[in-house]
Amino acid sequence: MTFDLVLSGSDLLLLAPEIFLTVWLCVVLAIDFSIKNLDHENIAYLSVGGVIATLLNLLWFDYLGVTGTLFHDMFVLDRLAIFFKIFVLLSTVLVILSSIDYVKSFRFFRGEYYFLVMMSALGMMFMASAHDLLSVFVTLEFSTFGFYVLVAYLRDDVKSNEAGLKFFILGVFAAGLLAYGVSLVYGETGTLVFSEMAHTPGSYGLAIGFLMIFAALGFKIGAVPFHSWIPDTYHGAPTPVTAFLSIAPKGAAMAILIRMFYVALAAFKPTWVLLFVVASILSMTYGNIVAIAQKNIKRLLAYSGIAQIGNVLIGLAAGTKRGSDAILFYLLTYLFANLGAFAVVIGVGNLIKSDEIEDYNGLNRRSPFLAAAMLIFLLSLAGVPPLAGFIGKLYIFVAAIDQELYTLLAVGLINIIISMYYYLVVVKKMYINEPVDPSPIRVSIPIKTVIYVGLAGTLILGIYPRPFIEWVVAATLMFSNVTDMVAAALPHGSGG
Amino acid sequence: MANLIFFYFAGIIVLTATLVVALRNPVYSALSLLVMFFHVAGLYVTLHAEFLAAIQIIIYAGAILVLYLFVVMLLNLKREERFHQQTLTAALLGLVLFGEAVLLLASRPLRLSSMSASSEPNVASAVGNTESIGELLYSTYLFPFEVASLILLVAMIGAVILSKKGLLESKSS
Amino acid sequence: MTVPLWYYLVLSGLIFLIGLVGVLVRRNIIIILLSIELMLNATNINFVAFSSYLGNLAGQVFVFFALTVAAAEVAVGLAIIIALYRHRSSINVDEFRLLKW
Repeated sequence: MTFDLVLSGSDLLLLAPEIFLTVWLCVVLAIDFSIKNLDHENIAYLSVGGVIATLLNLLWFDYLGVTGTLFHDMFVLDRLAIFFKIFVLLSTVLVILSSIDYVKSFRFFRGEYYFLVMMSALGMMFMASAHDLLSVFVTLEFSTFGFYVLVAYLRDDVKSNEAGLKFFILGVFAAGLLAYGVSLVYGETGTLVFSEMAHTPGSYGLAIGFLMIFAALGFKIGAVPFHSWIPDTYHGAPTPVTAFLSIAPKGAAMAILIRMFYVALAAFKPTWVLLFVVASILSMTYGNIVAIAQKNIKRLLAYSGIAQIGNVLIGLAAGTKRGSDAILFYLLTYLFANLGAFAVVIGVGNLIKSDEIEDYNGLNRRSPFLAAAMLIFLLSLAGVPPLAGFIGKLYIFVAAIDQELYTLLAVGLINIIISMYYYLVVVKKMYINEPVDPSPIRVSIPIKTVIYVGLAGTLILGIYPRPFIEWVVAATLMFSNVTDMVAAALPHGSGG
Repeated sequence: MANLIFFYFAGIIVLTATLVVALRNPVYSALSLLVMFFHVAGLYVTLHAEFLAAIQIIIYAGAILVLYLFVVMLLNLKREERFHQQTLTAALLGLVLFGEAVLLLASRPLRLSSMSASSEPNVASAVGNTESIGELLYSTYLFPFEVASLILLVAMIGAVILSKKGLLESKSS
Repeated sequence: MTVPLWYYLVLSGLIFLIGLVGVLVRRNIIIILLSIELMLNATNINFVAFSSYLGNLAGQVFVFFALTVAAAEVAVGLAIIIALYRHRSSINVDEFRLLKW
């Protein structure tokens, strides 16, 4: 019997961040249940320490230019993967910090919460490196399982249980679709690895298979028409979990989408461009219009997230390197603004125990700091210069113009105007209306830290984006000849 | 002869699958699913995937269904209204989708649908099915294998967190 | 004469659709989860059939992992149902109206 795999030390180095995080989270769990009466804050800070160590490891890899593939191209570590891993870990750190006060209100299983958050982060790190359909399936399910439990975490709260159930049922339904789609693709191409699939001739089986895979991934990112789980899940889940859900899985699923469509499906670009155009228009419009009617801030942010994903899909619809750069940069701006906004929501929610927008009336009087922070985050989400969101949207629209997607551009611009309406309504309530109870709101240090980081990110990315844009452009270097790849992969003398 | 065996298995599979969806009592549904699992395992044996057939029976019939029946008994469910109001629409939709799928398959030949008699599987020639899968699992597919072990860890801890009963208000869990 | 591949495809397609209809139509959560198992089994049949006809074991390996994921998902799903059941003594999806659908 011979094994055709030889793993050397330098190969395992590529997996070092994940291995470290796995060991760390097991150690954290062991510490949690073996030391009695350990304050959960220590567990939180331990977790943050481990995640930051992994983050630094990845930044070091990025600086050194460590790249490689493992396991016959199933696991790739390139700069795109490193970008998304850094993205996921950054959101994890911010989420853990925002959760500390919230977890105080749990009656039991406080330490395990951090364990589950880190497990989901680990799964999403794996997702960023997945280069074949089996890895995509396994890592996607891995990261989602953590979330199923996290959403239903508040056992005493019926809303949380219901949200968990709805999320779970739709989630495994999407997993079933994904698996069936993968089976059809496997049947048509005889392989599961993206790079080996690139030159298969098209057929109905392949199309249906990839359509189903796209449906499952669309569920993960929350694009219309696969968005139905988002509002209820965001509403019922514990708010830090909602914050985590709103950013990290979207980023990781985007990594998979970019790899899948740019590498495996390069030959069919004209067909899938149409798919993304439709999904983008639907998401932007539906998200923005329904957001207007929302009375709960979590639901508002949920629908605004759907619209933001619509914007991101414009970059995929462009299908060029510039499109993928724009996607990465936009996600980065969205990370800071969104997590910052959720940090404010958590801070306010911890004290007044409510997430209704009406209770944000007069926030300025109760805490000028929180109101100002929220103002900046909402304006960045809306795309107002000189904040990060503006550069992000600009970049995406440039990618669209580059490919002459003028309809998409027009819809995008109209949607910016629509979204400004509901963001500004919240701003108005915070600054102009009178609060019901004018007592000041104080937030704890961890939440303040998260808000400061969010503000820093939003302002720096808006005013001096150059180093980040360079980072993002370097991350997608492998796609620089994507138009050549398309031309080479097309059958001779015909289009799509 | 091979066709006859296939039609037997396929027929029972379709029948029991329909029963799963149509029966009123969840215990009966679970039991017809059990019969289906056995026949799917039989199908795997005809396709020269003996290891998978054994695993199918052990895991699906032996673990998953037992868990379902356990929960059904624990929750002591009553029989209740079966279908949503949109049953008819859903059934029609299902029929339409199926019709479309058959048309697609029949009209434009899949690359592989013409492969049949010639393809006697040549994989499991000298080595048995179990050994070949084992070799692959621990070498080429090591990465998903390790992630799968993490999946099971998350599932175990998650299940305990969600369903552990009667905890007092104490600091440690 | 061996069985043509498309027989298996039709079978798995049929099972998949039956499972799909089950998820959309039934109100009892246990039956919904059982229907999702049907969908996963249809996928497995597909994989094993393709694997056999392509002479490639990757499909069978995928079935292995799909089985693992199905088992883990059952554990988590039933735990959520038990947690939910402690609040309301019903597992009929229509009863869950606290959140708008």
